[in-house]
Amino acid sequence: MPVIALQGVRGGVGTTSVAAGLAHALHRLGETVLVIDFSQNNQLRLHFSMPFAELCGWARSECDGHFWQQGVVQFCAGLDFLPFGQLSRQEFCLFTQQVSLNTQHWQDKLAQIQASKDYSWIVLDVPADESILTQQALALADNHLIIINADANCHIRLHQQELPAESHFLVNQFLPTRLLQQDLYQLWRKTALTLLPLVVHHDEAQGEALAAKKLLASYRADSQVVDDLQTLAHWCLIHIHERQKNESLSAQGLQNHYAPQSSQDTSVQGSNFESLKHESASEPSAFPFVRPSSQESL
Amino acid sequence: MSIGTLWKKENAFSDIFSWVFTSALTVWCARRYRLYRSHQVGVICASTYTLLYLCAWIIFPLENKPWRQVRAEHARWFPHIRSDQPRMADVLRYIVQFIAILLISPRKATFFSSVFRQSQRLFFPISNFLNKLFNDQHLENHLAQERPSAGRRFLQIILLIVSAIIGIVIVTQPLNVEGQLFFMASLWCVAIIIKQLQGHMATRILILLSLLVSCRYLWWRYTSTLDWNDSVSQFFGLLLLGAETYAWIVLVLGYFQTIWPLHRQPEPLPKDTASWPTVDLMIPTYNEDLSVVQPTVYAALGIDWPKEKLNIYLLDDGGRAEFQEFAAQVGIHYIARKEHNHAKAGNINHALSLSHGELVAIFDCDHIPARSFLQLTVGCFLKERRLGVVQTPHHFFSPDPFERNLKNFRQVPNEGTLFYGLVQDGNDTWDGTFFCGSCAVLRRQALEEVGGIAVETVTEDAHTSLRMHRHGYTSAYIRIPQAAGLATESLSAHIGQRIRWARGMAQIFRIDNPLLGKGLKLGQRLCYLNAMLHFLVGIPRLIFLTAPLAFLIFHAYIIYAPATLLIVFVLPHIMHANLTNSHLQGKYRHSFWSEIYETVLAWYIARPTMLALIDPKEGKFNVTAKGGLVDESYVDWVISRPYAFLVMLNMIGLCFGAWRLYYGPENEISTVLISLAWVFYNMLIFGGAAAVAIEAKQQRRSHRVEFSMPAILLTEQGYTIPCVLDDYSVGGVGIQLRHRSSLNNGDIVTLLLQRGTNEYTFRCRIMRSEGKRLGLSLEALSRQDQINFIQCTFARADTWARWQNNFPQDNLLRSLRQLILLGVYGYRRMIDYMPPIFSHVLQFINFIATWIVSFMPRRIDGRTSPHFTHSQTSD
Repeated sequence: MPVIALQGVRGGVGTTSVAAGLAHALHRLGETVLVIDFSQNNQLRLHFSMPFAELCGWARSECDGHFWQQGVVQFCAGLDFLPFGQLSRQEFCLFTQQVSLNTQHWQDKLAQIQASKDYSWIVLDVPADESILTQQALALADNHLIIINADANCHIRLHQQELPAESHFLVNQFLPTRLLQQDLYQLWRKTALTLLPLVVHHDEAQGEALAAKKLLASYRADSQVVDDLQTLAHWCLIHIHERQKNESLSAQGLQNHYAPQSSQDTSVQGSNFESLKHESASEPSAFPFVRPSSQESL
Repeated sequence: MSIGTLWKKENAFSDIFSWVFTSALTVWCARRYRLYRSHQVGVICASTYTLLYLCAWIIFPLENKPWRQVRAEHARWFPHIRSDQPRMADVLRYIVQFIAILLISPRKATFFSSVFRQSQRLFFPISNFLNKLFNDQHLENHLAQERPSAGRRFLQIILLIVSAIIGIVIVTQPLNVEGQLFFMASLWCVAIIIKQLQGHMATRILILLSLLVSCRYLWWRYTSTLDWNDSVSQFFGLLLLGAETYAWIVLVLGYFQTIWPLHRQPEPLPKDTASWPTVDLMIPTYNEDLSVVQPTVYAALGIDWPKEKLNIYLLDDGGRAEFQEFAAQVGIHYIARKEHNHAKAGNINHALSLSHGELVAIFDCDHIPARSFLQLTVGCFLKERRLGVVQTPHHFFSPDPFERNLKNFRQVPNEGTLFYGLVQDGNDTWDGTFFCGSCAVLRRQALEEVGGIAVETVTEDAHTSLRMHRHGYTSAYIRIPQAAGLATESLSAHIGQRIRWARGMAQIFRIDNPLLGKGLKLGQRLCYLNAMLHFLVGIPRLIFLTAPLAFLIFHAYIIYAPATLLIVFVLPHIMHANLTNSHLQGKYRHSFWSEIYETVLAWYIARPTMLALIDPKEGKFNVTAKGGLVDESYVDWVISRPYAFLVMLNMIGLCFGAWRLYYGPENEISTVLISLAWVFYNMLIFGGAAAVAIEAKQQRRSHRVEFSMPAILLTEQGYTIPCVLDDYSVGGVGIQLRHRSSLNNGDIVTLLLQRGTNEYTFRCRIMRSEGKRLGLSLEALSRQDQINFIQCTFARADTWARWQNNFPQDNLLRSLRQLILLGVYGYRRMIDYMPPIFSHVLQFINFIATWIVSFMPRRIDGRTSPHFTHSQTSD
């Protein structure tokens, strides 16, 4: 199960909307996807039409002493998201301290999710800061996608900032009518930057979609950005999925005789997790099951 | 109240009716009547049909389900009758169509087609077996690769001698009518079976059969069909025999040329671009508009080749300041010369003396090269050191006069398709590819060795490659269109161009005959010979078009043989030749089109070729005009005058024929009938030629190229909308959106097109919007934008890739039907442009003919709704 971390080289490059859009595009290709928000800004949920007043999320649940799984929300069959949850500043400080003590904090959770086999893809929406939570999130992922805009700010950061090794770069909000954007894009293409062979264009509809608390694909299907994200999903499927399959195939020779036992293990855990989720879904107050049709605006 | 005013009253009909019938029926009939009247149907007709309709309801159970469906699908069952606008004679049309439907149900196969299918099934195991036998890849490889041993070679020679003797016996064996008929019928059966098969072996057997039959025919013609007693018969007979001999030679050479097309693949280039040769790309121009030359230059700038290894030269023989300025702006070389001798050849030779690239690429100024042109062609030069020239097809994105005037652009392969699709590819097998003046790369060393581009004739291109071949250089043809240009815009210009080619070829035939002289292989000699003979078609074609008249008018026995014997000899000859050519060339030229192309040209090239054969020094280079407009449809009477004359002659021949039929001797009737059939066929061809001479309007300056590629639209509000680019021209594009758009005419949008990894933006204005389709025109582009636009569209590597894939395979009967329709269409169109006295009479005849034809039953669309057929059978 590939885990992709999406991180902006800085804030405001559109990472969260790409994460939501990519998850939806993967889902349209028949994959099962879970998107996890790691940002205290807690904005991912709004792309999935969650009412603004709903505060739940995995961090919120942990602060309240609930199971973190209770934060999982189903957008539609096969596409779930896990919002961060709304925390006050003190709560967040406390929470960060707790997290920094337990380095295995998210590793265990991921193992649980993986064991459940509910999802074929996990997409992480990681904020563009240096916090301990960010570092943990990045450590979880086996693929890093760094979102950039074709502007001078990002260009400077690409040279100054430390970036995860073996990461790919995706240009978002690309507007070819701008000469600087064209030039930077061509420059990056020529330099050793591992740029994806596709861009996500700028579209006014993207901003409007967030204002309407909808996914872009639901808000305006005939947007080039929807097509671009679909291309991105295809790219992921071809390059990440296939690569992992090949790796696992080559590893199979070594692990063959362990296989039966481990599958048994996972099935037990899987049922456990599934039941948890199921149970939680029956409690409407803690588990807002939000349909995409909910029309509340901000 | 008189009856007249009564009819005029709105409700008069119902008034009369209400005396007789109930009110509901009256209302019903009145509604029907008013429906007819509202469609401008006359009073009498409308009332008649109202009554007839009523009668139909009384007689037939029209309210039943099957009848209801017939009524609902009226347009399908009676496509030539309008139910709401009846004409007086429609009753008859209904009856005829009704009978036709009953007799020829679209569901059931007709008797003939079922017989045909049965016989095909019978042949199926045979053809299956033969297919396996012929297409045995192992055997083929075995035959191709193994060098024959001495014993084997001896065996081959013995076999060859034996089969030659058998062939001679077959060709020369005299047979009576029944014997000949039986022999030809059996050969025809074999040909029909072989035709179903694929592969080279089947083609070769078809060619062999056709050659046997044609040789036998010609032998018979030479030995037993000449009347030596009558000098008039002798004269016309020898003329026809000469023409037939010419046709036979061209047929045989044509088979030789196209028996095995090479389909050469491009050679890959080495990874290291430093080892790629330097190229001079030359664009000669003389008097064309700058707007014609610009796209070519823009596209040339984008050719994928190391910048320091590609020099682009604009060779301006007009010495225009405007061009010089343009060349400086876009950064290409400009060469003009003081003297203007030897036209295009001289222009290029002058530029050769001022440049120094290893290879020379030549493009006519209206041929827009694709970016991949050099990468696909140059590899061959690196692989083969003695390669002199690589030619690629000439492709046209505007319709040529034939296509434009006959309105069949991209539906039937055009005139050039045969040459560039098949003949050149076949030539390549024999290392006999000709240089065609444009879209080609030449090796400078080879050019210099033969003294530059040849200047002695007006077809400098073919002559140059002939000389290269003589000097031991090879040639290559890559059948991938890598450039596209404008076709000639009028028939007269087209004919002018062909006259030049014909004259030039005749000149080469005289001064540098490919059959004579050193350095050529036999295959090359024959390929060049056929190309030249092809242009000598004028006089033989005119003889064929007038030969039956010699008998009908002058009573000359041009073929001195009984009619039945003539039929059993000539028909198999024609049928086999057509079948084989249809099999060989079906994808590149449909049957009977050659006749039309040749007929249009015949008169005009007959004289220049003869003159050039007598005195090759005569004649000058005329430039082919391109990129023009035709403001209004007109008939080119000057061009069609000789054909009008020939049509008249044929008409007179028909009259003579009718006279001979009634008053001539009894034993000549069958001969007269054959001659009349021949005249009718010729008349059809003339009709086709006449249709070409009616110049259709051409008001679009920039021709649209149909293509399909993704594009993006940026609106002024900042929305980014995906779309598909459907077509483009130099000045605009047509796009298709996924949903109906809210964009309005006059809105400014930005079009995004991709080229490689780059995206280019173009400001456009919406000119028309019809649902999902938008027509955009480019707004005030800067020079760089223009370059980008050409490179994003015309110069794409895959732009012309779909070339010739869209044409259906030739079908003899369908082509014959097309020819007949075309001939009739030509005559009908001609009537409109005749002087009034003629046209009134002819229009009347035309009207009568159309009226009679309107009674003919029509074909019913085969797509029957399953529901309907079910209910029909259940009844």
